[in-house]
Formats: sequence, C-alpha cells, structure tokens
Amino acid sequence: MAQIIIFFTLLACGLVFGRHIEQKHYRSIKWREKRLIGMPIVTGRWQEEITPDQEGVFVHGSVVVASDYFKTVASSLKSVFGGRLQNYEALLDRGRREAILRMKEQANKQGVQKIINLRFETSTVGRAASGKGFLPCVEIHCYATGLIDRPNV
Amino acid sequence: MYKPKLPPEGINSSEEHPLKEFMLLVVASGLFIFALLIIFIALGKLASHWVSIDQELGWTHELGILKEKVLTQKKKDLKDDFIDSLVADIWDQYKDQYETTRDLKVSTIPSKQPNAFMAPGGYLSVTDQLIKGAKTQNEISFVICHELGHFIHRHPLNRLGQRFLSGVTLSLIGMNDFAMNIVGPTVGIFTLHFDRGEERQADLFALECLMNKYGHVQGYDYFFKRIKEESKLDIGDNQYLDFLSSHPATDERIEVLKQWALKNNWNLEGELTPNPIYKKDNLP
Repeated sequence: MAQIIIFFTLLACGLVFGRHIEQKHYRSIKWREKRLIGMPIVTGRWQEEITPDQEGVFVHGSVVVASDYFKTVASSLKSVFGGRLQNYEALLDRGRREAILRMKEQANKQGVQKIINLRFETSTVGRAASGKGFLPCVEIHCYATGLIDRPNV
Repeated sequence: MYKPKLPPEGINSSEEHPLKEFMLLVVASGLFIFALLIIFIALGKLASHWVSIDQELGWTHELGILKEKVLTQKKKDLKDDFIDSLVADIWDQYKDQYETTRDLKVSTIPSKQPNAFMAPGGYLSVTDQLIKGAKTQNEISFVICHELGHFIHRHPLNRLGQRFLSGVTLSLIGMNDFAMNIVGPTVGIFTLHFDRGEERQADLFALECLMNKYGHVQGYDYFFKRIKEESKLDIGDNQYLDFLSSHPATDERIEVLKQWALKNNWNLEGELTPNPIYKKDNLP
C-alpha cells in the first residue's frame, strides 16, 4: 500500500514540476532563439565558400537533460503498446535547441558571423548509460565551425 | 534578400497535454491486466481440475520428507501430538470422499497471533497461540476445518498456478521489477474480492465439517470473537478497511455462518469438548 502511495505521489510531482520546468524552459528557448536569429547556421561544410579573409573557430554547446518520473512511467507504459514517445520527443527537442543556443551564445561572444558544418552527438549518461538506471539521462553535444570575418588579415 | 525566421513550433514535440495520453494508456493497461487476470484465474482453476487431491498430496511427498527432517529437529511436545491427532481425526472424514490414503502434513509455528495457514500440497501450519489460547477443541477444529476448506476447494493450488503464470507472463512482456512492484500490489487490492469469496467458501465448508465431527456447530464463532478481542480492532463497520482486507468482516462472517446453520437445520448448541492444552496463563 505504501509503495502505491509513494508511486502516485512521485507521479504527481513529476507531472506538476516536470511540466512547469518544461514550459519555463520553452519560454526561455523561444526568447533566446529570437535574440540570436541573425546568426545563420548550416550543416554543410562550405569549404569552397570560405574566403582567405575569414577565420574559422571551433564552437560547441552541450546540455545534459534528464526525464522526470511522470515522463518515464508514461513512456514505459507506451513502450508496451508502441507508437510515438511524445514525452521524450519534447525532452530531446528541448535538449537539441538548448545545445544550439549555448553554442550560438559562445559563438556570439567570439564575434562569429555564421556557423557551418554543424554536427550533433548524443550519449546516455549516469546510471542510464549502464542500463540499470530508471530515469533516462542524456547528453546532447553540438559542435561546428564558426566563421569570423577578418578583412585585414 | 534572405530574411532569417524561426521554424514553426510543434514539429518535433506535441502540443497535447501529457495527461490525455497517459489516461488512455492507464485505461488500456488496466484492461490488458484485467484480461490477463481473468485468464490466470481461469487457468488456475483448470489446473486444479487436472490435479486430484491425492496427486497434489503425492507430488509434495519428496518435499514432505525434507520438511519432516527439519521438523524432527524440533522437540515435539503435547500440543504437537494433540494437533496431529485432531487434524488426522478431521481429515479421516474426507479421505474416502476424495479417494486418497495420504495424510496432511501438520506443523506448529511459534507466534503470538492465533492463526493457521494452508499451503499447496496439504501443508497445514498452526500457530501455538491458536492451540494454547482456545478453551475448547471445537474452536480449534473450526479453524482447522476452515483451512481444510481452502485445501478441498484447491485455493492454495489455484493461487500457486495463478502467481506462477502471472509472474512468467509479466516477465515475458518485459515488465521489470519496478513495474511488477507497482502492478502486483495494485492488482492485489482488486483481487481481494476473490480472496474474500474464497474465505466465505472455506467458512461454509468449516461449518459443515464441524457439524459432521460433533453433531452440532457450537463454537463456530469462538475464534472470530477471540481475534476480535485480542486485536482490539474490528473492521466490521468500516467499508473502506473492509475493501482492503482479504477476509470478510468478522461480524458479517458470524452472521453468514449462523444463517447457513439455520438454513440447514444444524444444531447451534451442543456439548463442547474442552481443550486439554488450554491454560488461563496462555492467554496474552
């Protein structure tokens, strides 16, 4: 009985706090995306487009995101029946956008005008990495080449 | 000229409230588990039809030898001899009917609670407090008959079959220990209804058994009254606690038994047989 009460309490906490944090994070993401919209990003290498008066710098951003209790339980149930894991989709969407934003913020400080050759890496971390953990936890890392115009070089 | 703009929202994530999908999943899972439960109960009952009482007692013979070896380490006393002969006396009434010559395996366990348990294979365990604290043999006989009712109606075997099948199936569909810890107790609460049905079945059997042994049913309610006094907790009037109990409410059980005895014209009063082991000091 106690186990059931603890389970439903954790589930409610996961739903209330998890959703609050998610909505707050999305608001922050949207605001920062608008602020940094002027910096173009492409995934192509664009080697031939790089001119001698441009300097290439390494830029990267990474984020570690963890699922909450509600998302994990809902996704476990969903995995029995199959279909879209909507709860994890939102989590990974936030992770990817946050990593790009962190990279853009770093690039902005370095004076980068545009970012090329964007790549993503993801890896599970914590106990989830060994397959023993209950709450999934993932690191999303993005890296690219930032181009800085140096007309006098 | 190119003007950068943000992509629209909702491409990689859903705008739908997560509770909507979760509720659907809970309902679907509930129906799925309910269907499994019905199948397990049906299969458990089928299993007991295939296995006769004699076979059940025989299958556990090897295990019985092992258990007897353990039991012989414990020094037998008067109460062990008394309970052995009482159980044998009651069981002898049913041997012919169920076509077996095998005996039940009886053991006493130290406990401050008066109680008895029946395990698959005819293993009857009786707490020493049940024997020492009963003033009459009739009271102990009723409890033994009740446990015998579970055995005759194959409840322990059904339960064993159901637990085995549900454990294997839940493991096969990939439910981990955590999920099973949640699903198990949740299903357990809703299967208590079946448990209470089994308790009523065993109670009615016990009443008839008492009638066959003594020619009357006096003493059928002594055990219930004793546990009610000793536990100082009566769940009889609390429907919520009743829902969470594997046994029907005490007062309700007594009333059902009384009505059953009246319906069958069984004597509610008769001569009581004293318990030779009982001493006033034994009472807690």
